[in-house]
Amino acid sequence: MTTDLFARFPPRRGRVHEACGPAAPAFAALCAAHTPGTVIWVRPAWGSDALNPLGLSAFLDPARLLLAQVRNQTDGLASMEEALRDGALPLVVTELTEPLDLTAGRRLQLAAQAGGSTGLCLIPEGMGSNAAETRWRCTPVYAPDDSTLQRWALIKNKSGTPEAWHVGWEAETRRLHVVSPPGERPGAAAPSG
Amino acid sequence: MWFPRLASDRALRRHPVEGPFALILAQGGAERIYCLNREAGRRGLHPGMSHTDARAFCPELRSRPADPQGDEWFLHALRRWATRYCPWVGIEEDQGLVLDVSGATHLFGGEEAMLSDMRQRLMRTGLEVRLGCADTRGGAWALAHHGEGIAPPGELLSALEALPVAALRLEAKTVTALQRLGLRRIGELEAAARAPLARRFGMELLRRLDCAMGRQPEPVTPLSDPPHYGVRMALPDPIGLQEDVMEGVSRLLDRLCDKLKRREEGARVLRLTLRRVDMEAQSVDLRLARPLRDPARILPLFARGVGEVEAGFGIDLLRLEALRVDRLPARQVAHVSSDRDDRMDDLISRLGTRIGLENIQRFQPLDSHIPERAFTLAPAAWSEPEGPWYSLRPRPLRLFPPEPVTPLGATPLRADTPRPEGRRTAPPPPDGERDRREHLLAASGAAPAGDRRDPAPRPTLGAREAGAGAAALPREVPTPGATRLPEEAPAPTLSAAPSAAPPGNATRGSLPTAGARESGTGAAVGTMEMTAPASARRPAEARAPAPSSDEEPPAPASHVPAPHSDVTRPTPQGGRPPRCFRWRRMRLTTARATGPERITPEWWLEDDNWRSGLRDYWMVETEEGRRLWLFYTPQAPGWFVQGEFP
Repeated sequence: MTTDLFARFPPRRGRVHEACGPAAPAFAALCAAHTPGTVIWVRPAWGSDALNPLGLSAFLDPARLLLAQVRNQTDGLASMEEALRDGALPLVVTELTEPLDLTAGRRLQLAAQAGGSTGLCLIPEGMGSNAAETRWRCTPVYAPDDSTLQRWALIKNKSGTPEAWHVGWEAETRRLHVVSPPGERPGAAAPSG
Repeated sequence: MWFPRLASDRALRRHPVEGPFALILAQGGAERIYCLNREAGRRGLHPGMSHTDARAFCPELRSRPADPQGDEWFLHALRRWATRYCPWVGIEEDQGLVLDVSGATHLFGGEEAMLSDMRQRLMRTGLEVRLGCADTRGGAWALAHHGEGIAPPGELLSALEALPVAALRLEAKTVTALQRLGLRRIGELEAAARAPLARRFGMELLRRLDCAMGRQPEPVTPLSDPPHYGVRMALPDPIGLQEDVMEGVSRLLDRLCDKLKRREEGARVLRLTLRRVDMEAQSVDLRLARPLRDPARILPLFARGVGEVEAGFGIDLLRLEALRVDRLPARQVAHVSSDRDDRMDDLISRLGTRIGLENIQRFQPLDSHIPERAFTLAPAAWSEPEGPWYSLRPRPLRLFPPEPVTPLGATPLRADTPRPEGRRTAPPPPDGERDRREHLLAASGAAPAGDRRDPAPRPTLGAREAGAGAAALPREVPTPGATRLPEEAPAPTLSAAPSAAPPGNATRGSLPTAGARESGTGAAVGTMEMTAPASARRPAEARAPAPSSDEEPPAPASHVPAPHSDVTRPTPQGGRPPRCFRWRRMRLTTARATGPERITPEWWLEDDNWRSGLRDYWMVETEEGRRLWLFYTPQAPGWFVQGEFP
């Protein structure tokens, strides 16, 4: 039987976590929503897609977000390490485009432990680092009555077992809720995996 | 002290040129001579002449663009230099300096010696200067501009009486008038009766005359030196270790911050210059996220920059300068300290030394309906968090430049066409079918013709909403209900729309009403939720029309004439998202579409991205899970993805 999502969900502080899949930005936004204080989001400046603060405002106040535009991944990782080690910002989100090697992953992990901040890497599929504490695969799921349904699969967990939840989001109350698996939901196409 | 050719002398000092030379300034659409050298003046050129005329007079004229701003700075530098003669130095117009040398001349051996010293030094730097010295400011001006010299104390009148009246700093009009009256010299003017002069020319003339003659005081306004935030430290022995340099920086910072504190200012940009023994200088620039004057906070921020400096044989001079300062008034210290904000500012500064301070940004709201212009990114170091953020409609979390999508097999028409087979979308349609579809596509794109009208391109709200209704109509209509429509609503109107909808219409979320129009700036926005019944989304029965008939009521409002048969049923398929499309090499099937939300371009701003005219935005939820933000451009038919919802 699955455990409570909220035993896992705001991911453990002082660690670096990873999220992949099409809904990974939403996962990061939800992490930020569950974190008090300012959040920094490190992203490559050359990326064509932009975060939309109006879309973000369904999750958190965009004024709480700092955006760091970096030229390359080295700069991005250095910024992330610096921010994690400093600990002034409780959550550091980084969009990665290249795979992390073990050294880089471990350095981030150590920095997060030193500063007590949470790190979250948004990675392309299959580019995870072994040093990550947890890895989440987030995919949007179609449901006839819910426009926010997502499937969050915990595909790597250093201190537990892989699991999966279906979650929905209520924008009015800004509340995350776990819903029943889609097999019991009429009309919803069952996702693979 | 008058510099008649200050600008050209300055330009020639930097790059000497032989022969006639002029500085050109674009004034009122013409290039005119701003300043010229003596050689050019001898050829008959004069300031204010047009450049082309000057070139005609003097073909070998060399010219460069003028830089009045730089000349002003140069004059200020000269002013600072002139304080070597006396402490009271002011700027006179834009080409002169005025010095109050009372009590300072004996230091240079008298007035004569002082003036010749000035002249010599300035000539050595290549500046042409005319000097005048008199008891009054007006007298000195007159002497400097019209025949140099020194007026001995008490004999001002005798020195000035031979000068023309123009030496009194008068307007050209007054000078001409005085000359016509026969008053050509200052002496003649002085001898004339004052009352008629005042009546004829006003008080200004007499005031100038009195100033020159010393009957009215005219003080010199010295400019104060701007505060200088620079400290330096010379070392007896060169140093090379990073800790040593940081220690030196820390001492310099203490001194600099004391200075800043006295003036209640904080440094914004700092530059540390390290001079090596071999006279090679390297500098470390530090830009701060907030004005700071706390040495303990600034010092660690230098660590990174100092670490990159090449010490060579050692550093023997440290210089720290605040290039930019901002006001930083003293603040009440609260017992609840805002330590967190300070730490965040420090972090921003530190990240800024690596990735550039302007690359750390925050969102600021803008007032625009255009999704990509509804916000802006401002550097976090120079902005405060702003809000609130409003969005009346759901907005995607990510925005990207519009990407065209390829509608596949089943266009909306195809999905609507009743078919005996369950699933006929994937295989290519027979030729006849394709022809008909293309024809309809063309009809929807071109001007509406006959009864196959597509109201979508009309820019008015009412027409658009009716268009949406029409778009909705054929989507589920191959039912008896739809054929009943003309009897039910023969002259459909917008207000009739909601009432015509049966109460059981639970899936139809929000019908377009007047309230759907957002107040504001040219974007008419309406939303109509169109939910296909759950059964219709099952792949097995996907396009089977019959099951949907009991759930979907007849669409209420339409400008489209009633369908009479399936074949001629008008289908403004432009209004509905494609049933099946390809995006980023994924094949996606629309399960639910919410919309349209019409956004019109902001006509007052030129934007190439919005050349295709207004857009109808749809939130499309696909059976594959992805929730995309599609738009359709009715004026140049095409479907694009612009964003993705979480």
